[in-house]
Order: sequence, then structure tokens, then C-alpha cells
Amino acid sequence: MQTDSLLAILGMAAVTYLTRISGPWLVRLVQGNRRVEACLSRLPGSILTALLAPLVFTVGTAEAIASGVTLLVSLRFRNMPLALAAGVGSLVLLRHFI
Amino acid sequence: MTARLSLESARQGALRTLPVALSVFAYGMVYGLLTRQAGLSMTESILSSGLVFAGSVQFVALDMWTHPLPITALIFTTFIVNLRHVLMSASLAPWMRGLPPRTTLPLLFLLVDESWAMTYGAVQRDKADIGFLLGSGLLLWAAWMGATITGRLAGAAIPDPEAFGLDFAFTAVFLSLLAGLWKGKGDIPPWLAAAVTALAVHHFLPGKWYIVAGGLAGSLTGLWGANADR
Repeated sequence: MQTDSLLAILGMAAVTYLTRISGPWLVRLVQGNRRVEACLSRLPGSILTALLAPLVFTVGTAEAIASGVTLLVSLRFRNMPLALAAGVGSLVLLRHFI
Repeated sequence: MTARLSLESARQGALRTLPVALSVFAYGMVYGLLTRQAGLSMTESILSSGLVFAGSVQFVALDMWTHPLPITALIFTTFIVNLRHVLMSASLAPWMRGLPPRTTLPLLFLLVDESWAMTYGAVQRDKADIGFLLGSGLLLWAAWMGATITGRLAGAAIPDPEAFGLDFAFTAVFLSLLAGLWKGKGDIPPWLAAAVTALAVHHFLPGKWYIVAGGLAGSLTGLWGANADR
């Protein structure tokens, strides 16, 4: 194995790990600030929505409709395996017909 | 809040992450296959999946894997793409408060998009503790490693994930997790801000900036009516 490959992989691993452990430290830094805490409470839903938006709206019509199906089944039955099956199943069907 | 780490939650974490691990496995096989084409050795493939353990950035790195290696650019890109993990680990902080660093530091190595989202959903709704991250993350790590090696060895024998709709599994998992976070109309402003910002940034900037930008935009709506107890 070449030294530069090893260096690159170790460096990538190090900075990735750094991002993973710095969240709680950052939180301690701003503890007790109501405004910041209000923001933090909205963070998880916001990250998920941000992560999802392009996946749902920019990939294709079949994906957008299947996303709607997944969301409805999730809200109605609160059962992830079922929602997964409904989403993936409807997508396979939609790709077939669209 | 007293933070705990129980084996029961770890077991739950692994169990409930199984369907997600399946789709992670499918993508890991694709990664393994591509490492061969990008010219990585078997050792390098294994080390990258085992130590970096961040799918999206590993795929991006393969694109940049030309000798001599642009080491600085690789590391910098990795940092930028993974900045979202800062926000994710921040959101789990309340469930780790009081746990010693010798527990939380190794535990946070297991934080990836999927294990974070599953864990956040579980600790929020189902009285699970941070042990959930241990079970969920370990299973995903094992799946990612196993798939990298399998993909590399199996080569071209890999089925097309799109034929089985497996590429959509990630979207479905995240959607279902988002549905679980829904608490009422108060969630509309942050989620709307996050979605609109993410779409705009996704359109104009490459990489994963849209997750960071959207996440921040949504959370900043907390500045209005700051004592809204949610």
C-alpha cells in the first residue's frame, strides 16, 4: 500500500471523526441560551427535510409520487417496514408505467 | 435528563435498522465494485470503508482518486461533505449528557445519516436511550464493510440496485423518519424553510452543502417566537 493513499485515508477518517464528535461540544458552548436552544430543537426535522427535498423533488415523477405514498403510509400506520415496502413497491410499479 | 446506554436499546437499534442495513449493503457493494475500477487496492478499500465510514464522501473521493493523490483536496472535501455530522451529533447531545467521554467518543464514531435518523426518532418517541446508536451503528458498519468486500470480490456479478427500487430505500427511510418527527403545525415553518433552502442550494452548489444550509435555515426559524416551548 502506498504512503500517499494511507495518508489520504487516515486524513479523511480523522476529519470525518472530528465532525462526528464536535456536535455535543458545540452544544455545551451555547448552553442556557433560550434562542439557541429553540433553534436546536428545530434542527433535526430541518436536517431531515433538507436531506430529503432534492431526493423527492428533483429525481423524477415516479420518485415524487412514491415519496407521497411513503409519507401517507408512514403517517397512517406508524410502521417503518410497511412504509418502506409501500414506497419501494409503488416506485417499482410506477417506473414500469411512467 | 439522565443519559443512559442500555443493551436493550442497542438490541432494538440493531433490530430496527435491519431493513436500512439491507439497502446500505446494496450501495456498499457498488462502492466495493467501484474501488477496483478507481485503482484502490483491497487493503485501501477495506481501510476506507472501515475508518472513514461515510458513504457519500467515499464515492466522491473515488472520483478524485488519481495518482499522485490530491491529499489536501481529498481531506478538505471530506470535511465539507461531512459538516452535517456536526449538526447531527449536536441534536443527540441531550441523550449523552452525563455519560463520560470514554463512552461517547467511541460511540459517536458510529454516527452516519441513517444511524442518526433512526436513533433520533427512537429516543424522541420510544423511550430508547443512546444505546440505540450503538446497535444501529454497529450493524450499519458491519453491513458497509461486508458489502465493500463482497462488492470488490464479486465484481460484475452485482445486480442493478435500481431494478429492485433499492435506490429509493434511503428516501423512504428518511421520509418515514420525518413523518415520525411530526408534532404539529409548528413544524411547518422550519421544514418549509429547510426544504426551500435545500432545493435552491442543491441547484447552485455541488456536494452536500444543501443539507447544511437547509438544516441551518430551518433551525434559524427558532429565532422567531424564541420562547415557543416545543
